[in-house]
Amino acid sequence: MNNQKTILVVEDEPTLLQNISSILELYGFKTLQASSGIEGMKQLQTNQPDLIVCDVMMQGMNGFEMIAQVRANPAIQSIPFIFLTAWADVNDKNKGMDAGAQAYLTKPFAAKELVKTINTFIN
Amino acid sequence: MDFSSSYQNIHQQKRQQLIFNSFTDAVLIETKDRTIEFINHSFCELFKLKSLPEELVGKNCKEGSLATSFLFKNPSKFIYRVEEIIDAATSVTQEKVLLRDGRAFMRDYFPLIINNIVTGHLWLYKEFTAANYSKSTNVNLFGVFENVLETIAVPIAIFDDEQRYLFINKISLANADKRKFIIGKTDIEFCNYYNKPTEKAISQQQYFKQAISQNKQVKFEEEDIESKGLKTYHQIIFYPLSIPNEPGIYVVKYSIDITSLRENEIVLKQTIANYTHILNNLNDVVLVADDKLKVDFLNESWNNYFNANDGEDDSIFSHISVNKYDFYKQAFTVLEDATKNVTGKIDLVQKEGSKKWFKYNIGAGLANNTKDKGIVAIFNDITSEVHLEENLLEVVKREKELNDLKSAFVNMVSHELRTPLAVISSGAEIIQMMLAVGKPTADIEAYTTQILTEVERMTTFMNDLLMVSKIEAGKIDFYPQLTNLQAFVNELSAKAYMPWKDGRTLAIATKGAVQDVAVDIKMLHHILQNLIDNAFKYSNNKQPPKLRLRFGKTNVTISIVDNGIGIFNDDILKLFASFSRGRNVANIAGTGMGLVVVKYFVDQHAGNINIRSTLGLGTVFSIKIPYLKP
Repeated sequence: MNNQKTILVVEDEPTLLQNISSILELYGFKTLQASSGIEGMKQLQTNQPDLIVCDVMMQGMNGFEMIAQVRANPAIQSIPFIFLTAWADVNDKNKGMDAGAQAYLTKPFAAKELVKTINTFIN
Repeated sequence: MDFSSSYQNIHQQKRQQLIFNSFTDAVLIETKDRTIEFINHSFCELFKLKSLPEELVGKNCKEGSLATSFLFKNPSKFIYRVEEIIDAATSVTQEKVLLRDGRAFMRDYFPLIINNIVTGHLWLYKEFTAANYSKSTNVNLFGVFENVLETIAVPIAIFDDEQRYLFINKISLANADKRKFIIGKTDIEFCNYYNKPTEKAISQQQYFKQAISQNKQVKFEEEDIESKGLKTYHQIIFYPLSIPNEPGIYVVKYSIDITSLRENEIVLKQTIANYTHILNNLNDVVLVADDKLKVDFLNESWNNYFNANDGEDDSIFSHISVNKYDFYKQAFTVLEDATKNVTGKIDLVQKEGSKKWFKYNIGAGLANNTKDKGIVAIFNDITSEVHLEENLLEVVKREKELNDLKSAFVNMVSHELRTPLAVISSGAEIIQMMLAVGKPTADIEAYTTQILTEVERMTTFMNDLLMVSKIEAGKIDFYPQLTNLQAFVNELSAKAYMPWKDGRTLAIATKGAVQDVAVDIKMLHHILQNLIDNAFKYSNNKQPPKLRLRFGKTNVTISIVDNGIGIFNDDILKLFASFSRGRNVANIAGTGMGLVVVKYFVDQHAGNINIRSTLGLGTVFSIKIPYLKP
């Protein structure tokens, strides 16, 4: 499947990282997994995913710090970026959108909504 | 003696009488055996003798002088002096003699010597007092001056050097008879004669003597009470002066009515006293200073707040510290421009060390001792307002903190629940999708386990919340029972920390004589699990934490040592408040509830918690539990 899209999932809660990846794979995506912002940036050195789904609160490098690095790097800055986080406050959402995210989804999430949002920015 | 010589003698005597009788001076000639040989009319008048001169010729002079001695101020002195002069038989001129009635005579004596033998004595007396003085001088200067003096509308009197009146004007003494009578007398004599009190006369005598002895004017003040009871005030001046070619010193006395001046002064003093009283009864501090900032007035209110100045230094700086820069800057502004009026706030420390706040107002003032402008500063105590404001701010701050805490709590709860909910919902969706495609049950089981785990995690979280809530309401019971702590710790470690979820394992070390300790097992479990979890959580990628058990004589100490991020010193005390977390926890998950519960449980064991921490190096939590009977 040549046109199979790759999604980088960054999430520090191992179970949830696994579940998000499973859902995306069941919907036909290929996934890359990272348990922190630092790991996510490492993945981006060797891979060029079509979209990034990222948590906010993580040790080492959080989601806001990661998007800042992505947007600052010309090689990867155009990759669509979706936050998926437990921080449901409007202020947090604004902060995420201001940082350059395409969407800001809050936990718990519906699988269909996540996939629909991903598809919006991939196509 | 023939007729012609006898006639000649008589003729000579008559001529002598005619000559002496034309004299204004009193003349007395006595023989060497002191019989009156000649006496003129002036003598009789001067000494107020009732006999005619010719009747007195041949009379004994000694007896005569005894009879007239009472006229003199000092009769015995008069008699002795006369005898002394006669015995000496030497000329005496210009000798002053004082009479009892106040008059003063000038006496001359000449011995009548023929062929070196004293044949008789010539006495000349003339009145020396003012009236006589003016009569005896060619130009009646004194009379002229008397008229001049009468035109001056102030009481004037002139005295001789023994304070006898030579002149007194009508304003001083209206009654003409009295005015005449007083000449030659002193005030004291005058008062005695008219039965008047002599206190003032005695007092004036002192000033008079002073004027004479110092030969310069003396001023003093007298207070009188008029018949209507009104007070009058006079300034009296004794002015000594000498007249050229005249013996002795004269003293001019005049007085100036200063009643209205004194009355105004009294009114002014009273007014000042009233205002000072008002100022002293103000709660506000009032300070008046001159252009050098020397304090001219400071009301008593100052002393209620601060130490009364000991008078050593009257500078404003001794009252208000020079480090009150703003106050002085403003005070100088007013000194430079008197139209300015400035206000400000100042804190001053009281004698016992407490601080008072004042609102002050500085305006231009007229200082006492200088023509230059000064300042008037009024200080209004606003300490209670400031405290109220501070309290209010504190309340608002606390309110805000509480609000922040509340929203932080809500955020935390929301976050803590959303993550497990996300696992549950995503797991459930995966199960649905798997069922739809007919995946084997074994594959699905992993997700149902996940869901159950997350539900358990949420339950634990809810229980923690409930626990804190119970603790805060004081609803937790303490059930201690003797426990083998070493076994307890080993069991706990084997269950959860061999290894922990990141793969590291907990190291345990024991010291001292192991013994059973009375603890509430549930509480201790909670305490240790919480502290050990924290030790792992906050020391990610570092050496694993250690647990040390040390059995002492009276207590057991359980220490959990990590090599983690450490805690800021000022955060340590706050750790035991609900939902409080160290400022450096960043993205490490936590509820801020754990240590609240730990502290409470340790307290139940009558134990204590000690925290030692170095930022970036690690933290040691030590719990000391005394040995209790179960």
